[in-house]
Amino acid sequence: MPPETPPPDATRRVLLGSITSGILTVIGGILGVLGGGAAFSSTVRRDAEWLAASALHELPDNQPTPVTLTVRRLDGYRDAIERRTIFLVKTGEADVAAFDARCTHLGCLVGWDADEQVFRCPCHGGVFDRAGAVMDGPPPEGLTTIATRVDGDRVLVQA
Amino acid sequence: MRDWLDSRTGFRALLRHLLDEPIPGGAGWWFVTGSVVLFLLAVQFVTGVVLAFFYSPSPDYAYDSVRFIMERVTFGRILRGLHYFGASFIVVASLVHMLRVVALGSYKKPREVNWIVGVLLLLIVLAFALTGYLLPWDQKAYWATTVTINIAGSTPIVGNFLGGLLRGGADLGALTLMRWYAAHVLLLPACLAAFTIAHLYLLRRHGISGPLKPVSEPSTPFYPYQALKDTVTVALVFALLLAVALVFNAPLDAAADPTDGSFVPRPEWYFMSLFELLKYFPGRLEPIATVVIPGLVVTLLLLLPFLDRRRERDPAKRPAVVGGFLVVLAGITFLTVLGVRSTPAPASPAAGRRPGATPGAPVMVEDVFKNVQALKGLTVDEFMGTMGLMSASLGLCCSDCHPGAGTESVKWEDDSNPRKVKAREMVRMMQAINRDNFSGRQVVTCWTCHRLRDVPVQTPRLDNLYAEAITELDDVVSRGNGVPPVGQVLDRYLDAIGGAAKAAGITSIVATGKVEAFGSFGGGGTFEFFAEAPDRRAMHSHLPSGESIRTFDGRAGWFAIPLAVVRKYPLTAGELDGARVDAMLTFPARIAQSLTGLHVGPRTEAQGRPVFLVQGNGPRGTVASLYFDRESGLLLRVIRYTPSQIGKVPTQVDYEDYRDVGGITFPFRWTYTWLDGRDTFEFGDVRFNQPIDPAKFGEPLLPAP
Repeated sequence: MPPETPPPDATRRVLLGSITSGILTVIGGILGVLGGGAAFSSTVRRDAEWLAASALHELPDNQPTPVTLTVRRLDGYRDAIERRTIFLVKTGEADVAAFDARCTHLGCLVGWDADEQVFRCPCHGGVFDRAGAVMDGPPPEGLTTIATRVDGDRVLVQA
Repeated sequence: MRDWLDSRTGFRALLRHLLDEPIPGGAGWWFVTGSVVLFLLAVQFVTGVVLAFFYSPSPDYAYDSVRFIMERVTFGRILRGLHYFGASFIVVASLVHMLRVVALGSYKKPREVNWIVGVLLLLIVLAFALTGYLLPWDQKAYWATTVTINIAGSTPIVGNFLGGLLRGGADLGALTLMRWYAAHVLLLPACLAAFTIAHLYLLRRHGISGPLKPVSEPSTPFYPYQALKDTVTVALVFALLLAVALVFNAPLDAAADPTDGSFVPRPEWYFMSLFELLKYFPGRLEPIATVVIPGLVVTLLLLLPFLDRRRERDPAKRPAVVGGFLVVLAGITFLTVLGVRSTPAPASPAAGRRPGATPGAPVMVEDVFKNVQALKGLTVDEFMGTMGLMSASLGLCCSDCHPGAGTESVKWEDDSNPRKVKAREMVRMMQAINRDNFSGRQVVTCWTCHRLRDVPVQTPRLDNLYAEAITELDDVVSRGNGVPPVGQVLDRYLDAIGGAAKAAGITSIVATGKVEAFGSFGGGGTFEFFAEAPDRRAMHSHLPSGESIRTFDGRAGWFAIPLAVVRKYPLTAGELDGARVDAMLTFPARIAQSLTGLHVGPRTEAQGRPVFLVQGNGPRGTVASLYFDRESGLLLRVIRYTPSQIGKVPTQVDYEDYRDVGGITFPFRWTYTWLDGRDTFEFGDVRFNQPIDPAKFGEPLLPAP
């Protein structure tokens, strides 16, 4: 018969338990910091760049024109050609507004309905006016505006 | 809150059960080894999960993703170090644990099953190590795995089956990598978890074996007394592992290169003894080293509790077992030392990447051409594909829009020709039609309307009323009716060129001959052709106007052309995929492995002869159509289609004038037609299985203009 387990020495047990937990917490913390640091290292938002989107003279007045931006970006460990659709609206002699074509509801691409003069989302019926403001449907806010700059005949957008 | 949770889950009772295991007095520090192994496995799990966030298990990106982890991911170097060196720590800790169990006779009745589970766990750990080191896809990974698979393949009777199972495909490649990755992150962790739980369950069922002789000290609960000893040891081991990971970089050789004969493959140190053993059993005796001896060691380990059934646990009184174990361990150590000493010093870190293997940075069209408007954001090769598609669809040549094209005084950016301005509008119109009506799918292309005309035909000719319908096949064809199975067509082709064995024996092709470039506009010249299995190919044409060169080295491809704005550029996207398909299809025995979804389409014709059309898919939307003569079985034509912004880009090669070269029937006339031109190659000298300088497949070196 093995000897009986003695009555626990509560204070000593708590002390030893605390040391054990402390050491394990430190080890867990180190692994957590290393793993967490890595997991979040690539989620930093990339910097926007000024990209040539169109020639000014090619844009009709006040009519949204879809433009596909093609950007070469480093996608982690590979070079990726990223394509993104935006709408350009020539609002003045040298003024151009730009909207992201992604619906602010769930990200489907909106299209320009030239008859009704509105943007329509094909997914859940979101409707936006020419200025990108919500007119109808579930989108919580208007189309995302994109900064633009006109340089001579070149229309540049920040994307 | 805790009381509520306890009332619902009973977690306190579970914790008590787990932590209050009575540990016999005098157990102490001898019994920390198992906890160290368990902890190291946990470290591997945590670091493995984080590494998997970034790792890409494909030969195209595996190496780059590991470099990315090492160079760009926060703490990535340390995490990979923990995972890499942790594997060695686990092997050492497992052996120490096993040594302790053997020394103290802990495997004896009633713990026989737990010993067997432990031996299986050791094998699982070694399998982890084996599958793990292919993943970086560097030279060591590639060659060590090649050796491993060949060792498995040399197993008597089941060798072919085992080799095939480990390789996954005809050669070590994407299928192998995926298979080993799946084993490493899915299959083996599941096995490890199951066997670890079984090991711990059996440990609790029988308790630890304790000291050799019962001592007078009372038993104590595991927590916190033994737990603290375990934790202190674990902390020391972790500190050591962390220090190693901080000080040393986990090695990463140059990217895998199946043609680099200078690399000396060596396995990790824990497999070095097996590697060394092979040297002593050459030829037909090899299975003794690969199967018999390792099998015998594992069998003896598994049977140990049944061979040594006495109750005696004192190692001093069990000389046969302890001595035998130490002899085996000493033998393994001796062979390991011999193996390590015969390992050449590693190559310099500058070896990082093989020249030419680096996919060159894409050259963007805006960087080299002026006044690009409708087709911005493309790489040069994508852009050239779209230009070619336009000219081929309208039956025009470059100079119809660009003044002086084809001469040295060309003005590509000049907009004075209204046709060029109109072309931009048409590109936008076509994109709008597809976007607004076909969800962006390329249903309408230039060819849909133009059909070799500048202005499309608008009205049907009534002469054609009741005429036969145009039976032009779609680019992508479905399975035909009344056609033979694809295997039969391919087998017949192999028979026609000299038999499957002869075809499979072709590992390289070197040829020279005469070329007529650009349908004679480019003038006549000579060419050199090089191909090396499985996927390297180069065509160097020496023309009056300069060098015209296409190369593909298995990873990167280049195109050099005279009289162009961009004399040389790396291939990207569809063109790169197309070059890979071209290279793989050069070797007849590999056609079946080069394409997926192979099927025989409807009966059709090529070169005026009835043919069987075999179609399959290459990477990322590439489609290849192979036309085999129904009568002779020979391959007459290959057309491959790669995607572009304004339609599929076709490239066609016609093969004619088949002649015998050393028992292999080879086509001596190739007509290579792509959207920007047509080159005809008349082969003169053709040789098989010749050594080829790897530089021939790399970036072309052009003389300064």
